Amino acid sequence: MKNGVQFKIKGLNQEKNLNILAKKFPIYDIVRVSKNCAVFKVNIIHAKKVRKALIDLNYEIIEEKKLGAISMLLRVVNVYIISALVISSILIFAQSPYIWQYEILGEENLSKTEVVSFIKENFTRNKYKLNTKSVEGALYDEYEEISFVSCVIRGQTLIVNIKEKLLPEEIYGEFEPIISEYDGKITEINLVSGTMAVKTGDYIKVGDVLVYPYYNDAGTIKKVMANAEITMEIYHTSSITHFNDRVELVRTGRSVLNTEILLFNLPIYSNLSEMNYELYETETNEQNLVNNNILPLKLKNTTYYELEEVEIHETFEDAKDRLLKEAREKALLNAGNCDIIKDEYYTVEENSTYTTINYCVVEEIKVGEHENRGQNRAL
Amino acid sequence: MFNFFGEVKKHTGVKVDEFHIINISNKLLYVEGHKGLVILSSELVAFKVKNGRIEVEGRGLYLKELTENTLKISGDIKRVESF
Repeated sequence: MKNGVQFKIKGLNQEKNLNILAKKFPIYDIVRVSKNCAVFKVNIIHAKKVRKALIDLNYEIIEEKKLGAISMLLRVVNVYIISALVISSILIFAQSPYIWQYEILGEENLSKTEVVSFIKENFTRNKYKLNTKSVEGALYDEYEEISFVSCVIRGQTLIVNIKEKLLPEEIYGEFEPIISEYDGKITEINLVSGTMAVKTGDYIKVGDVLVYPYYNDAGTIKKVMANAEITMEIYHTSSITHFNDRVELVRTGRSVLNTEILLFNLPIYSNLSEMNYELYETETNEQNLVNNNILPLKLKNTTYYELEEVEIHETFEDAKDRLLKEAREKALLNAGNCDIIKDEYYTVEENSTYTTINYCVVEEIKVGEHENRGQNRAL
Repeated sequence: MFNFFGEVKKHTGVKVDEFHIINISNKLLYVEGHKGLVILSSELVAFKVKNGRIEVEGRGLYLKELTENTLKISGDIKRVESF
């Protein structure tokens, strides 16, 4: 038996009791050493029960020895565990004078890593040499946000408790001016914070600064978040040119249909009719003949429509209403999502052969209302 | 443990409720169907079987294995006697 436990027992009636034990567990290598002494081995998994049974049978266990590879492994593991415990104890003892952890409490706007790196750079890790009062003073001097700070060492942790000053939220933000994204005219300004760069009635272009992110406090420039409610007029224009005499191409009504069957976009069958139009336009229609990609057959129909030139004479007065409607639609198309149409007007430029309509839609929008810091762009 | 006679019984269907002894070169005695160890010493090992008793004499005897119904006696076996 390779892995097992060897028992050396002392007691009487060994044959009888060995029979009792053998009914529960296999017993190996039983040697009768003397009349009241015997040695035997059992499997390692039965060792505990055998020991209990021997005690119940009033036997004295003189020796108990573990045998085999598993027993050896357990002994080695025990040696390693004990060694690891000893080494870790030594390491803990060696490290005990040093601070290994920093705990920052109460920070809201300050960065925890920034505070920890400041302490690491400027103070020793040795807790017996570290003066917590000097840490408190240095932190108070370094960060103007701190109104109160206390440091205490607990074990190998330095606990820093910070109480911050109540500063306006703007102090922590990114300061960017309000910039116009439109061409237009300022009609109303309601400044909330910052310094105005424009005034009512000014015409502005895209990219012009509307509000600067600072204000002048008795000669001192102080940064604030730029915020204002600005009402602007922006202009959306369009133009359409009309010719009194013009030539238009219209369909005569005659057409020719050509049919092709394509496989992999290559024609495999064509039914082409003779077409001798001078002016024409085409319409093409393709459709799949099968519903799979294994054999991609397509039917391609091409229709040729004959065209002819027609001279059209239309005076501006006859076409004016239609042209105005087209010009307005074109101007509104430029406006996109128009909030309020404040005004609209048009001008007519007459020439000897043509007439041009310039249409203008005046839109009123509000800009400069910000909810997010650092997003100060007119929308 | 592999029960030799148990396997034989299973395959042949022979009903056996007795004991079996195999002596291998007087070095190892394998017994199946014993009813309990009676004497154990380096010169004599005795055990009960159905309707009798077996005694094994020799030198340096010891029980290589003992279970509920099998045992192996190892050593220099001189004599095996049934009573």
